[in-house]
Amino acid sequence: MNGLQFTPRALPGAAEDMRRRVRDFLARAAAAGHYRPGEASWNSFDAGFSRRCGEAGLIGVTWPRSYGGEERSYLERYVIMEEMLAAGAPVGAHWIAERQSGPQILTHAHPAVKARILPEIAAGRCFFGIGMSEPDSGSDLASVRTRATQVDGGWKINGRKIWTTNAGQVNYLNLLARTGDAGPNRHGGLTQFIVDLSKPGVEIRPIRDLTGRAEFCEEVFDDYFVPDEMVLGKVGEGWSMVTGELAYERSGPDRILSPFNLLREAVRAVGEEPDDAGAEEIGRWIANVVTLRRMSVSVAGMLADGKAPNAQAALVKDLGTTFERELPEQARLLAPREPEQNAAEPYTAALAQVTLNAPSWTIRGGTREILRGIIARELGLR
Amino acid sequence: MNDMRDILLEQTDRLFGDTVDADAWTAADSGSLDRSLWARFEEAGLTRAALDEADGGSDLGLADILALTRLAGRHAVPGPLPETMLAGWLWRRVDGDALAGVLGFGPVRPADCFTLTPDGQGWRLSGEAARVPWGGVADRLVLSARTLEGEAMLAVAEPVETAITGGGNLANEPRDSLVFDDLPLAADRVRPWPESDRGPTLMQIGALMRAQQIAGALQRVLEMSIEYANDRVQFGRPIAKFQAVQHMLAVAAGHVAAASMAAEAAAARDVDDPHFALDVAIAKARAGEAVRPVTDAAHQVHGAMGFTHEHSLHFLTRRLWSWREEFGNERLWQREIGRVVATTGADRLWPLLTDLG
Repeated sequence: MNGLQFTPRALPGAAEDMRRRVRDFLARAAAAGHYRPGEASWNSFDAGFSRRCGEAGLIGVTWPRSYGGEERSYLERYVIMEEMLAAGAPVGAHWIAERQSGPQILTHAHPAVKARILPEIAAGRCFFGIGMSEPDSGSDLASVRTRATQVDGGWKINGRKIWTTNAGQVNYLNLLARTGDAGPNRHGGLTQFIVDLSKPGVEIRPIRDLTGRAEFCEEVFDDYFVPDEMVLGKVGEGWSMVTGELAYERSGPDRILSPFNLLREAVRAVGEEPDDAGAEEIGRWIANVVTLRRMSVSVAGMLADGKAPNAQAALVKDLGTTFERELPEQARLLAPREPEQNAAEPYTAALAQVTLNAPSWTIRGGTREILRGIIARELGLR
Repeated sequence: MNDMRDILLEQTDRLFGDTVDADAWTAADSGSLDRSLWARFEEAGLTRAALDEADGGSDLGLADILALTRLAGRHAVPGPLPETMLAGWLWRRVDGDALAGVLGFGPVRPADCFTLTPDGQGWRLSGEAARVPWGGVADRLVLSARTLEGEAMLAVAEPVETAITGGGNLANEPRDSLVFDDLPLAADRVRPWPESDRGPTLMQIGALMRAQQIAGALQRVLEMSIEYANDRVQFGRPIAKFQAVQHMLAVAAGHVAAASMAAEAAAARDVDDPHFALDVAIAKARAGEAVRPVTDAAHQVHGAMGFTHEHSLHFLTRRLWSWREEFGNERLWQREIGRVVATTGADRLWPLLTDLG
């Protein structure tokens, strides 16, 4: 029960300094035409923009300097993430590498691999995808069947992975495979590998989604060889690695601000003098967004303190993505438009973009049903 | 300071736990003040929390008083303890003398207003206020009023000579409508209120008080529901083991955490901070919004037993259903927020949110 407390956390002065730095970067990038404000989010892939972020020192800022970082706090990193999302900047290319692959590599990878890959991620030149889900393994991650078999000098991988964001464009996957028996708790015998997608033995198939784009991919591995040094962490300890860092994935501003552009354009659409109903609806959104952001910052603070607030993170993602799902439904009634992708009016386009993408937000990164199970366990109900 | 606060909160939590039980709640349902319970709070120094140590008070600031208020909500403490602490704080804020006894404050509705007219060395107070918490029970009321020139003032009145129409909320806590007709007040019973465009207004202080009580009571209701779900066996196992029940309470826990965060953030804000008004609005709006989903889940989990008078759940839920209406419901405060945001404009929205912290 006590595990679900959130303590208000003020962002330190260094984080506000970082905010000015990011806003300055974004203003200059927009002025130079490097991105169109408000149009993108972490559902995007713009390698050029990511490279500019890397050059500006805005990727991997918490990492050691020797690996291309700035040894800054997790709260400073939080500000970078939320400023990018609020601006609608195309950060999708480096998002996964920065958020979870990089930290996993930093903690668990072979020193030579760290030295090779982390500076490239920080420079915005190296991108990652997540190789966890499989066609028959989604929420039940422990049931993965992709198999890694030990061979001379490394491992041979056979199997299929799916729902990998931007797999056709990224350089690497962090891939979870079965290397041994599951054991009584089903969590044994799993190992993570860093998989270089430029090597032979892997075929990548894009999956068109309902928005018309093909952000997700399926990958088929056929006797794909991974050298020993690309094993991530200890063999057989993959489960605790992928579940131990979920707080990083689940509590961030991307669980609140994905539809921020729609919120901003809806405020514009109702104008400076809304009627009572309009003011009330916007007031309700803002009360929720401000509160969710405070909860998210509170979790970031716990992470900065070295804690593992997995249940709080699950709660923030459930509450945050529930809000994200509701927003387009309420906006369409508040300021009615027929949504159309790429419409000239920003609000109409945002309504279309969010309506079409919203269903994915309560699924990717842990379905709301899985999250509620985690919360229930923390409450002492399981 | 924080250690001191922790000790104070721990002691007070224990005091409430020892003194506020189903018997106390049942007695409070009559709408009268339980004087023996009140005496325990007086002994513990709680009723004089805001007063100067020289006046026998505990010299607590608003943040500490609001932390105690949250505890009072958690225990559904009978009697106007939060009102008394905050009325004392309000009057001390204008350098008034130490107010003793059972206190209340008002008006509690935006439309209600008292008027002060000069009368020799003193004043006369006129006007009406609907549903003032404990208005007819309190020994003294701290009232916001305006002079004929529109200057904001605070006045202390004893409602003895007042026309009182008694009423109560869903938990039978007195909510009395008051009519003052040229009530004479001595000069020292009236003081200028340093109210500016951004407050604090008595409505804001009241809304913050209720937001804290709601946050405390919601937490308790969630805990009661978890305990009941683990105890109640159906189909051969505790109902807590059913996924439908787990998910219902997981969602409720989200609302409890959000209400708590919103209320805490506002309580931590200095009243002179430019964002105080917005944070209070967010606190009351978000805490009020949480009441329906949490009480809904709580009663569903408790089944028919939770609907009985015998079970204690309703002592909290009836208060929650009342408190969310008092000092402005969600709609009122959402409207305030919405107007600020609309005036700020879409392009200044994000900087506003990050300034708020």
